[in-house]
Amino acid sequence: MQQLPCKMEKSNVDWSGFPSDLLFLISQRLSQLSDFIRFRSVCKNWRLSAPRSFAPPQLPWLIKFLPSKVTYVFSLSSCKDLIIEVPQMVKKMKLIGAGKTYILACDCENNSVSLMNPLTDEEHPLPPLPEYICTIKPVRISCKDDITLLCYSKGSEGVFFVG
Amino acid sequence: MITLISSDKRKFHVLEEVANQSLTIRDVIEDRRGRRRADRIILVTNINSKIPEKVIVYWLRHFLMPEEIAHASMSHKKAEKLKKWEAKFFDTDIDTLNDLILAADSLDIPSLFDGACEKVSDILKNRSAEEVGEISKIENEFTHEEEEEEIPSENAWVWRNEFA
Repeated sequence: MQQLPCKMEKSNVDWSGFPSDLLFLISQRLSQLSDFIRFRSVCKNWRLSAPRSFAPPQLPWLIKFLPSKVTYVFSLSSCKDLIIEVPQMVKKMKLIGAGKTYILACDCENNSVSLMNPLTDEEHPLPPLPEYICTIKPVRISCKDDITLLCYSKGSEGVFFVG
Repeated sequence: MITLISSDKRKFHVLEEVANQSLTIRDVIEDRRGRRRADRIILVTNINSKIPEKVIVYWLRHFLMPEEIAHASMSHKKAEKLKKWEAKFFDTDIDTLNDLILAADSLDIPSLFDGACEKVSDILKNRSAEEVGEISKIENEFTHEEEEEEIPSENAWVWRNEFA
């Protein structure tokens, strides 16, 4: 952890009774998600003052496709790799694409494909792939309202899923 | 000239143009315009007695360099100098920052408020909740559910990624 440029004297004033509208404004100056989470873990008043929905906006995370058991994303805001948990089942699968908040994973052995949100564990199993497709390459995942459209292509052929 | 009276009954004489940086004081002066001299006395007893002095120092530094000018035509060198001065001004203990934020809020001095909040958030950055709790002497008082489930799982993510 980096050293901080500030004085470390302990406080004599009551920070737990600090006005929550002002605490909220302080929490909004924390640009790192990890700092925001820690802010919310200090005490009840601080937690209530910094609602989860007001977490600092982050630049998009880039998913790293590595053949490993954990999923890495690269955070552009903090310039480092972050680890995210993926549902147990998905660990055996191969990540083949990402779009919006979803990642697309496929189990090549039994041709099953799943669409999931790694942050909420929300998962949508998709219809199995037709047998003649042996490798798939996602071209685009787009989400509009409740409809998720996946476009796979194999060579010049295109296969579309609507989930 | 207006007179500010602090909670320990000290008097501070300040030029109206300087004190105008507090939007609260500006409104009060505006409301009382044309009245007796006694009305130019403003009580600032709701803020810690050590703070009016600091606030006035801040006002004077900024009065010499009004913000409009600061943004539009101030030279790079002058801007750097002001930045350095502000860094030093806010490099103070956490209690003073607490008082400054409350004072800047009640007197409505946006730039002072922003600066002090920024400094507090700098103190919080990269510190664990326990460390922050210790510095700010806060007892957490979480519900059983928060203590046992939500917070550990959120923080586990932070810890894992802090050393990733």
